[in-house]
Amino acid sequence: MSQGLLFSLLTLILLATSLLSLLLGPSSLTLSQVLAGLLGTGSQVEQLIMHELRLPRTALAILIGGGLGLCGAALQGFLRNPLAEPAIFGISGAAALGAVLAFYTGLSGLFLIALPLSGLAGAGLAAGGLLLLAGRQASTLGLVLSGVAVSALAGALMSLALNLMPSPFAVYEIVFWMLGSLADRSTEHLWLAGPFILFGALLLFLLKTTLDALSLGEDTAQSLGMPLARSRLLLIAGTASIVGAATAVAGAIGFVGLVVPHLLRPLVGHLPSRLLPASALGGAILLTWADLVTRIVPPSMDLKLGVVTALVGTPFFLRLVLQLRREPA
Amino acid sequence: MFGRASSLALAVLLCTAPSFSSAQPQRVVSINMCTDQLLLAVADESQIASLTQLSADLEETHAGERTRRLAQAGLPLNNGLAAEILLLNPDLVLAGAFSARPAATLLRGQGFQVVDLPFAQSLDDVRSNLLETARLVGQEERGATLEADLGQALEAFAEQRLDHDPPKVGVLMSGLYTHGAGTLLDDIVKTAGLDNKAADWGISGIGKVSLEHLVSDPADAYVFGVDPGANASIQASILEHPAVIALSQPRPHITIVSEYWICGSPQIMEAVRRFGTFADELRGDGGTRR
Repeated sequence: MSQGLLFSLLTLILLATSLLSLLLGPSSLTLSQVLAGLLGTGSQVEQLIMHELRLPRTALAILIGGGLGLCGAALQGFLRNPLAEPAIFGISGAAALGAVLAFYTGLSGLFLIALPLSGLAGAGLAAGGLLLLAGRQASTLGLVLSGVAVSALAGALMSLALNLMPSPFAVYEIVFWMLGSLADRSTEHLWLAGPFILFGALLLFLLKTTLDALSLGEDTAQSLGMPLARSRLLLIAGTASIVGAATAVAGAIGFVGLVVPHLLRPLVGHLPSRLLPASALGGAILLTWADLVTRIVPPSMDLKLGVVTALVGTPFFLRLVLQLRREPA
Repeated sequence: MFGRASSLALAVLLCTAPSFSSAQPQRVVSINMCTDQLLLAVADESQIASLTQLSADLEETHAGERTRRLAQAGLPLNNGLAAEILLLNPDLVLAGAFSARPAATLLRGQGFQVVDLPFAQSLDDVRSNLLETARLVGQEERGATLEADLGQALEAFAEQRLDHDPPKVGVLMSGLYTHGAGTLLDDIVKTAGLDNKAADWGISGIGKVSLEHLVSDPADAYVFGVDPGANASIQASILEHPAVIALSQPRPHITIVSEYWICGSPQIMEAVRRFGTFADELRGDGGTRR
């Protein structure tokens, strides 16, 4: 498939998916009502539904999905590890822990930006620790296992923190942070997370040439004059910024960063520099669809986003594990 | 034949035995917040062996204050765990139909008398639960008085507020949960001379309203069941969603925290009064009635 065709196709699918996401909701609005609400010419109710509910939700799905897809592609490329993904490596879990600490101690009530910032801090610590490990030639298995450990620790500390809070909804809230949801998010969340995600994406796109060189092996990349130490910092900062902010407003959402790059890699000729934008588009499409599924199921059931992405992602993950077994590292 | 006759005689004897031994339990433990309130209403304080920690955590209502006072005087508080209750060696355990099930089952298996009081789904349920609790703790007289008082107060209240076109209020809890037909709150709202918007939102029992539903079909007025911002939680923060604020700010709205109306106890009268006052305000004749 030619690259021009692939990217226009992905963009087209994303546009169609977003339109569907704006059109579908518990209150059935017609296309003209939706447009009138969007453009500000409709009734107050239509404007409120579009501006305060559907638009921020769709925009968040695109930004978060795109960001997670991009993170997955960058991590997989840099570590040359097919299982690299923010949630599997414990980065999302650590981000959720950071966000939980800011949210329930009331820190984010004092100044709003504390929420994405502490998500970012959690994600940064996990990503930094991970890359320190990887720097000493850690195996795929070693990285995945340390990811499992970080996830378990973050999950346990998060539950502990929530149990200690005087909220009668602690169990409910744990589910939100562990499985993620875009239900009832607002423009406020969009403004909180959006800039961080876009900034992180910018940092990751700076890695394009390094990732291409790295696909030839670390030694070759170094001999080509690639600044690997600086790239590592860029990767940590970019991933932390995206995953931290995304998790702070929507909880930890797994598997998007795993599935999307694998699906698209053959279509971009296995070139990391092309995989980055493709994965961003693909991640946005996948998460918007996943969010649509949670809305089509009766909203009173409050199906969590992570449930849908895990249902799509786990079979994929298992297939990758089987593949790894067949090709000894 | 002899055996049967003697056991019959024993049964007769037990039934006619002085009533204070079995009819007035002296170590009553409640493992549910709502049975706490019923127990506090009808029993002598000396009969109460333990109440729940949840009641001590109530912030606004009289039940919370009384529980804390008793706890300070040495009354043990429980979390509905079997081990805590076994140690108290109760002669009667009051449980809610849905709460602390493992403890209730375990205690029953150990031969303790555990009584499940049904969850009140109407004001009539409150009255029958009151009578039932009074019977269980051997305070029938006090129970009958309280029940009659509550009945009279409610009837007087409802008569004052016959209305053919009552304003519709939406009662919103954390996470946009609301209580529709077949709930105690629905009965309270209607007794107070209001109509419950939950029916229009398609909710009976306890259910979640979607934000879009809320926006496209607004109520005449809103009652918030939680203090927004009292405790930080994702669930409570939905009540501060810009869409919810855009809806409720231009319309009459108040906060009547759920601890007033979640449990069916005599305290429910206070909830009815608060909803009634709100109803009066909505009709703009708040000055003529209490």
